[in-house]
Amino acid sequence: MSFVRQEGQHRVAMTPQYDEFNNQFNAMVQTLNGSLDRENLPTSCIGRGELATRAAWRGSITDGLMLDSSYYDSLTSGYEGVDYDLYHGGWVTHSTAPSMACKEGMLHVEFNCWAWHESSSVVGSADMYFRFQLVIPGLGVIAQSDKIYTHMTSVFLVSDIPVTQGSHSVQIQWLCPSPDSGASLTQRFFWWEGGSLLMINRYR
Amino acid sequence: MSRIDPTTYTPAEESLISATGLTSKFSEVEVATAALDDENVSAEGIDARNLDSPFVLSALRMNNNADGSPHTYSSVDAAQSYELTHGNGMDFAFPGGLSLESGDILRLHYQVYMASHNEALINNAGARTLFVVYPMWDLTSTSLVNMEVLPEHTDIHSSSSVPLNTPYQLEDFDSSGAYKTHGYAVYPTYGYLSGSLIETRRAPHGVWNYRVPSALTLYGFRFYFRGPFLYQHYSSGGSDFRAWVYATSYAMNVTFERGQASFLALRGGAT
Repeated sequence: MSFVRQEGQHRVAMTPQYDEFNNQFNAMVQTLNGSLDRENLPTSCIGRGELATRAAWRGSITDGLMLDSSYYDSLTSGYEGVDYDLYHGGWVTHSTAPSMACKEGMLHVEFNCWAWHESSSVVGSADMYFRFQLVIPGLGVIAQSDKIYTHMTSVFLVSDIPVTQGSHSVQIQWLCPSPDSGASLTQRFFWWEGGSLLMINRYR
Repeated sequence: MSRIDPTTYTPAEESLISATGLTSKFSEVEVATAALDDENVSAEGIDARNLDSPFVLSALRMNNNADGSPHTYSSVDAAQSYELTHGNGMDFAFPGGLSLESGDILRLHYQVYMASHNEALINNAGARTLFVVYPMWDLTSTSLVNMEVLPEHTDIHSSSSVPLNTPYQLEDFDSSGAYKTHGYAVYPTYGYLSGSLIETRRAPHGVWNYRVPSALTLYGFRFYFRGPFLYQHYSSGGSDFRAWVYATSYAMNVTFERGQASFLALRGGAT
């Protein structure tokens, strides 16, 4: 806030009292010691010339994200993707967790990719879906998709969350249910790629 | 940080305020305020109204469906691409060119509602068939006649009449920045069977976020669709990669409805 006179104003012919002076002076000092804000600045007082280069916000884009090769069994024809010999269920954290040095403020996170999964009639499970979520270690899950039953589609997650100053990373996690009994170990059933993750910190 | 701690002189009861004392007290203020820094300024110390140079360089929003009617594209086949022209079309145009600098971040979001198609052969959840809606941009022409594939993206916009089994390579684990697809929106072909129509009823969210690597001038975006493709591994003639493949010839009707897009260009950010 700007400095507001609260202790009265000296007028002609008045004799200033010691406590009036001390109180007014201390009020001014308190403002200067940590309460300066936009109210102290005139409108349009700062332009690019006064700002340090790229001072307003920090951004990070990581693209080329796709299923980790450790969950991928190659074929020479047909389906490509995760099979039950490599994955048995549960949340999997992607090996790339983009991070950024943040200032105290808000962190805007967007993730998008496209994914394919096999139909229930092929894998023998009546509840075949996949889902994604974003996790910031120390803060928890910041965004989570619903169960997605569509066999191919784009996925989009977005979240805005307050963060402290320091480095913050965003983990991408995916999940696909385990099969019913009788499914083949080499049955491919899930794949994602076309992944991109945007982080913007302190955008105003 | 700058910190004023006026301890040199404090007027007390029953005493006269001395000129020397006042001078020293205000000198403390003078010295301290010469070094005001971010510790003295609250977290929201500066916001948009204090800034005379905006950080949103450009913000546009577009709705292509002012006429409110769905549009059917006829005889659709993956052999060629189709511009989304229904409603008011889906162009973002910067007639004078939008000058972008290295470090600017572009954010393009779009959704187009696919209502239906009429090809029962791809109404199969296990078929791995898909349509793609994708943007292209123009960096040279004020009249938007030089549309280019997005940087590093796989080119699915190849000219018409491509032959069957044409593969469009997808990014692989060891690829170096090519064949990306994150700026494209993928649509399933599976849907609700209603008479002769497969009602897909979906509007996947397409996103393209991009940091401008060097100065360029942007004249506009235009949106297209292509398909149906088949997602599969392609191995033939020495080629071996995952791909979207033009696998079967169709002459199908595809109906799109509402479409929306938004675009932001941000400046002033650090990496």
